[in-house]
Amino acid sequence: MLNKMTVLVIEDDKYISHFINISLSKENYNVIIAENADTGMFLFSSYHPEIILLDLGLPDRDGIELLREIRAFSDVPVLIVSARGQEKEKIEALDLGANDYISKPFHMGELMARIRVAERLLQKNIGQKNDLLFSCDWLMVDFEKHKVFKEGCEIHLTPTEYKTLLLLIANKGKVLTHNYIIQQIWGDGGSDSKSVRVFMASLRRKLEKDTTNPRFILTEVGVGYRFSDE
Amino acid sequence: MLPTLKNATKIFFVNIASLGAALFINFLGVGNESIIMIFLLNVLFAAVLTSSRGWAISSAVLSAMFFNFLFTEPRFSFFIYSTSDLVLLLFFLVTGIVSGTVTSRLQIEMNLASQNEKIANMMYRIASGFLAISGKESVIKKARDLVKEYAGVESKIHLGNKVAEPGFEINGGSGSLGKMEIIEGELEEQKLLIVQAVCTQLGIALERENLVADRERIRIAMEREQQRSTFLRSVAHDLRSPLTALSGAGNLLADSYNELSDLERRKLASDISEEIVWLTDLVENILNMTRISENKIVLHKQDEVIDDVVGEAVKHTERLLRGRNFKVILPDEIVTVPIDSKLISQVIINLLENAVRHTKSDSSIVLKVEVEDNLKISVEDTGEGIPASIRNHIFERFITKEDKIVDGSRGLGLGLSICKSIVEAHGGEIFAKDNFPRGSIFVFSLPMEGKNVK
Repeated sequence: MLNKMTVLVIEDDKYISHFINISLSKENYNVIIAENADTGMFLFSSYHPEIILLDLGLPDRDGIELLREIRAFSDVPVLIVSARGQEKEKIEALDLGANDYISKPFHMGELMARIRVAERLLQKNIGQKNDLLFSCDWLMVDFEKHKVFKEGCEIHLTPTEYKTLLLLIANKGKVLTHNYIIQQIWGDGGSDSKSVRVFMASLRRKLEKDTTNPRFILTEVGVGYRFSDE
Repeated sequence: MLPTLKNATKIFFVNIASLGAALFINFLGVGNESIIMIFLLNVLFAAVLTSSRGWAISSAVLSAMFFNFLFTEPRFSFFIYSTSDLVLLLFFLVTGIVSGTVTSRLQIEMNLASQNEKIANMMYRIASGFLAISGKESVIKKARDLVKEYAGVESKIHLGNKVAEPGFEINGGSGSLGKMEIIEGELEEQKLLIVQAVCTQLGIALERENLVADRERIRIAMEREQQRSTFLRSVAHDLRSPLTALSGAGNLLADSYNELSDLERRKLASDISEEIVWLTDLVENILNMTRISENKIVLHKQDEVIDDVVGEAVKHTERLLRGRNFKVILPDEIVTVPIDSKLISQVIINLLENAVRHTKSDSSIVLKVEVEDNLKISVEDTGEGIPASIRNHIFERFITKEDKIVDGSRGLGLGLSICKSIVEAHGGEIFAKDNFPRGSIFVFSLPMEGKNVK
């Protein structure tokens, strides 16, 4: 790879940034590290990184604030790093335009997957290509014929379910908040988060083989859903 | 006016009766000396019945007049011929007046004594009525009952030292505690006394209740303090062992990386990451514990699909359950239940971890969700079951299988007590029972607000 991706890591814990640095460098990313929000902002404007990893708990300023500042002029993919249990913050960050989040403590594999998703997003923005088919493991979706197959057999989805599945696939790898899904599928004031949960659970039962250990539709508790194709 | 009329009636009847008796005896031909005895009896009766000296004396005078008019010669006139009759009459008058006076006074004193005894009795009952009662509410209720029973009036009690309503002060040692307002009914002097007595006793009882409540608060605070320090001690202990292991493995890797074989290095690294999973869970539990230990859990309830919650718990324990014979059974329909998903999944995680930690690797584990009147979630294992010695205490804090906090190998006995607090905060219950033919089942139930079937 000639053109290495640059990842800006804004994280005040030096152990965390150290191991992120090692693992990302190994995967051929160019890593720059900022220990606080101000340095982060400075490094962002001087290096123009492709991806930002942003810790919400920074010593000088709130990460949310920094995110708002960045979003005011840039669409750069931002990954939020935050502690488990701060669902409100996560949702707030996602609604503010963060691309995804990862909860501490996390495995490196998880982080790499999120970064790959962000990367894919970048590539998609560069060259839009329209797939006619989605296929992963036992699931196949034929976009042209509006048909869904599970292990080769066609399964029947309601129009809303199909629409939701398309939305999930289009955002695969990325977490979608309940609110976002409601907005996209039912429009303003169309539904509540309880119906979304029931709806998603029934969609999952149609698509998944083991619903407690789902392959595709993963639940991010308290936040939303993520479609996994890895 | 009423008692006078009553007494007059009594006197009237007594006089009529004695007159009748006297006439009857006279008719039989008995002498005047005996007839005068009847009239003496009349005076005594009058004194006893009316308890009044005046009535006794007037009764005596009346009797003397009857005697004089009806029985002394010449009859049917107030003249007396015989000296003996005159002497008899005079003696009768003196005896009647003296005995009437003495009897009536005695009677008054007797009445007073019995009344005093009644009041003393009542006071005793009022005072002792509060003894067996505890709790502010019941004390107040008792006071109102007593006022109703002995004074016959309805009352209302206002607590607080600045009560605007009129009423009787309820005083404790530290000033006014409130007021008793009489809602309906009139108070005579004696009843006033009763109400005041009740107020005094109520003041004492309330004061006592306050003291008891204070003492209880202090006791709870002390207990909590003690619990907190025990908690900190066990947390520190439980953190120390994995930290020792971690730093050991880390040091070894950093210092003698080259001397270690590839396999050893890999083993150390995987040990580290396993240890960390455990630490992470511990921290999670401790965090939840601090949320709970203030005796108020803040629940963020939402209608959750149970699949999601179970899925989250299973995902979390995946590494631990690897290689185990583990099965999940979910109901056919999609069930939503109003819960704090984070906390409930913590309960499931704790139960699953418990099952893994306390059973051998060949024991199978089943996580089952059933819908009955409420949602029932159970974790079954086929291990050795719960030792009888700790069976009754497993949901209390700091109980581990080893029953020794200090030397217990692993596991703050926090897990199950957290489960209990969380489940109870949701209005459910949790218990353990035996599995058949071996092992144990931990079950908890959660109330559902209407099923959602799709």
